[in-house]
Order: sequence, then structure tokens, then C-alpha cells
Amino acid sequence: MLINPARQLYLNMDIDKIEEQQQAPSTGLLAPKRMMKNVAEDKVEQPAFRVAKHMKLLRQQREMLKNGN
Amino acid sequence: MAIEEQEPLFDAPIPGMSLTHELGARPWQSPAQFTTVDEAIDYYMDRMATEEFMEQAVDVLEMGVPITTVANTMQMSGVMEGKHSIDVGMLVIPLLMEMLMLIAETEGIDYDSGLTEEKPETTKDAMINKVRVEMKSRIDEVQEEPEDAVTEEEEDVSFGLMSRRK
Repeated sequence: MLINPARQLYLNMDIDKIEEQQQAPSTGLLAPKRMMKNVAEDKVEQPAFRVAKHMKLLRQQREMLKNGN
Repeated sequence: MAIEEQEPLFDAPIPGMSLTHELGARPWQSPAQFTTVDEAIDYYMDRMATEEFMEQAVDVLEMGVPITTVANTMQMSGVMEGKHSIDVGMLVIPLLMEMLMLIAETEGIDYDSGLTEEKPETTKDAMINKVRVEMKSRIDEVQEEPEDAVTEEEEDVSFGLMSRRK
């Protein structure tokens, strides 16, 4: 029986593979309309993605401490 | 496939335990105070940045408590206090672990991350075997010592001033 899920949750966060935020598309009158299927794929709006971004910042701080910067 | 022997769980709630209070009387039965992950993150980061929390966290981690256990306990207490839902708690756990690791490394202490795979049965057996071997060697040493001591005493007796002449 799994009592503490923390280990699995931590290991499942692939924060090294996070892509940098892409440039926002232009919102001009002639710009292509946003398709609904793209909205669902928008990772930035997922809470897990935001948590991963925070984690990445903290890990960078840790690595800086380790390297003595 | 190996069959894992499960130990009985005695600290589980008994059937009907959740019905001993009226619905809504417990904090986790009311709507959560922080409904989004961002709000929960802000709440925890503010708490964890205090000097008091850092001192307590360092004390706990120095005692050898794994970071996974501390993080899970923190989110569980947040759920019990009605701060956030258990779903938000699950999402926040990795961040809490990362923050605890940062605190530990800032203070320069050795900590157990709890990320290594646990095999409690193997560990217990190994420890029992180790203790058994150690105890056996000690018993053997003790059993060997008295014989030498007795022979030495017998030899000593003959050298005393008041000893009987042969």
C-alpha cells in the first residue's frame, strides 16, 4: 500500500525537459485565430507546469550553492 | 513474480469513523481556503521563508527524517486545516521537497532525501543478521575468556606468601 506518494511525485517531475516559454503570437486583426485544440495543448496553463517552473528556479539556486557561486 | 508480505495496518480508521461528527464540522469538509496551486504555493513559500520554520526544519532533517516524509506531512496538515484540497496538495509536494532541500543545503547539513528505493524487509533482515553475527561473536569471546582467567588464578595461588607448601 502506498502511504507516501512524495517520492513518485518528485521523480515524475521532468523539470529538465521544460521548454522555455515561446513568444506570444501576434494579436493583430489579420492574425490567425486560435484553434480550440491548441488551447487544450497549452502547457503553460497547466498547474503542474507552473509548479515545475518554480521547482526549476529552486533547483538552480541549489546548484549555485553546490558550485559555490 | 514475488509475493510481498503485507503487514497489518493497525492505525487505519475504523469503519464509520468519519460519521462520528456531523458533515461540515471538520475543516477538510468545508471549501478550501486556497483553491489554486498558485495560492497554495504562495502560502507555503511565505511560511517556509520564516526563520522559525527553517530552524525547525533543520532540526527535523538533522534527526534523519526523510524529506519525502516531511513534505507529505506538511501537505497533509494543510488539507486537515482546510487550507487546500488534497489534489492541490499532491501538486505542491515536489515543490515543498525542493524547498526543503534548498534549506538543508543552505544550512550545510546532511539530509535524507527519501528518493532512494526502499526495501524495508531486506533492510530489516540484513540488520537482524548483522546483529545476530555480532552477538554470536561476543558470546564466543565471553565463553572463551573465563577458562583463561581460571587457569591464571590457579597459577597465581601458588606464588603467595601464605600459600600452602607443596
